[in-house]
Amino acid sequence: MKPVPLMSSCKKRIAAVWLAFGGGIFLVLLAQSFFDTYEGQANDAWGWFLPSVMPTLSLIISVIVFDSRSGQTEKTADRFMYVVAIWLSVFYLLTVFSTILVQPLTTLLPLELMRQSNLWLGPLQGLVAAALGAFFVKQEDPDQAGAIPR
Amino acid sequence: MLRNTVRILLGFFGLALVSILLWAFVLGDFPASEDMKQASMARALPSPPKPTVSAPAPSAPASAPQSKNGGSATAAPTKRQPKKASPVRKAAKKQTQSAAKSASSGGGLIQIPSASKSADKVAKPQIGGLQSAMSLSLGGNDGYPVFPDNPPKASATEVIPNAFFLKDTDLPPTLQHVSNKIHAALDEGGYFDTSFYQFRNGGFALATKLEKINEDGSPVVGAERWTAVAGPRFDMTFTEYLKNLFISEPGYYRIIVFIVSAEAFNQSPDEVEQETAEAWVAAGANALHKDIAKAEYTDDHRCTALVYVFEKSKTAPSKFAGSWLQGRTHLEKSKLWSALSQ
Repeated sequence: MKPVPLMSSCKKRIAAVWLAFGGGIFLVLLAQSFFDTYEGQANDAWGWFLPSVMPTLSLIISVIVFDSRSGQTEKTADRFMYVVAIWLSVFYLLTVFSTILVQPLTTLLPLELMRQSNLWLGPLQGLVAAALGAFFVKQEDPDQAGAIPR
Repeated sequence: MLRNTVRILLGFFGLALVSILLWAFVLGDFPASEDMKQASMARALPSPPKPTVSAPAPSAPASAPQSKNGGSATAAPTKRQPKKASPVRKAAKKQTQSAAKSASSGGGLIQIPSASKSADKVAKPQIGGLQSAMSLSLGGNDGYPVFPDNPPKASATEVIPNAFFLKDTDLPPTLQHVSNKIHAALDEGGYFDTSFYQFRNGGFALATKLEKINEDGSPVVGAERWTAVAGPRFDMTFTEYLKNLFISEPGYYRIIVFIVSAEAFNQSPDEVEQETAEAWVAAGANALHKDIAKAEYTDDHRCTALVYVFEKSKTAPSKFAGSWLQGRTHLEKSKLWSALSQ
């Protein structure tokens, strides 16, 4: 039987995934803005990126900060919800990142591709938000769950 | 237990609300969603009638008799013309069909209007000015394609010396001879897929395929030269990929149209779209018309090279570009000048 993970460590891992991918996309966009890749239309590119990543990232950071301040007793996470949340997050963030990285290989203009990507990123983002919400809400006391803390 | 269930439900509702807000924010702010709405509305609406008005060829009035060398540039407006227009792009094809419909209902010319990138947009009525100046008609000899009497404004122009065509023959050369000479030069320059048009009264125009060029006017080396609307590019190196990812370098594309005519002509002030110019090579004839081919190349004739340059940046569709090079430089860099002068 696999040990049930602690809620705090799961939250930190999810935050690490979001910060790593979000930071990566941020840096690429920053470099593109410096090089004027979008020829004066960098605001459109940022306008696509920020709503794709920032709301969820802000939520995750807020939860972690809140937890650290509240000083509650350690709780365990639902393993299934954790796995669903983290893998959906990875898949979603890879899709967001690939929108920028794949563009040079296509014939589509960058901003055109970003606009098109909203078609599949929108539903994906909804799923990720739902999975993360369920994960954050569903937590149990270690004694009740009979868990082995990691 | 109940408490946990309530918390889960509240969490889901909250996130669903956040998701809906994100949807509205993400999709609502982008013009793409508006475009899509408009495009879908345009598809849903029945297409309005598209009146097609063609400016009659000034050099070839309807009453003018057909000359031996090429005949009238346009057919009588009441005559129904064969529907042979076949532009490369789907958009052009779609619009050609609508133009053909209007031609059969009223006008005598079949026009190939400018093909915009979004094929779904409702075509605007083409009346005079820009559209008529750039349209090609099939109203010449036996439906032979006709180049606009006043070609659209070129990026650069060069009149090729007559001596190039007169020096290697004792007999007065025919237009077929001139055409062969140009074709040989094009072969030497690596060009293929050229097409012919009748131009004004007894002249002809020869259009080349769109090619990618460097800033100095020389053609890009390799297959990329002919890949203006290429598919996905998986053959680039990692360095090229990084360069493409971060640096926005515009691409330049060129079409050369050789016009051989005894009549002087001026260019229309209107700029041509790349899609329209690209359609020239597909919509033209594969050989010179026999009547035009037999005509003599006289001292009055001039061979003029019209160079059309288009610029395609990373964020915008291609657009007509004024050339920073002279017409002769274009011809020299494409190795056509040296081939013609031989």
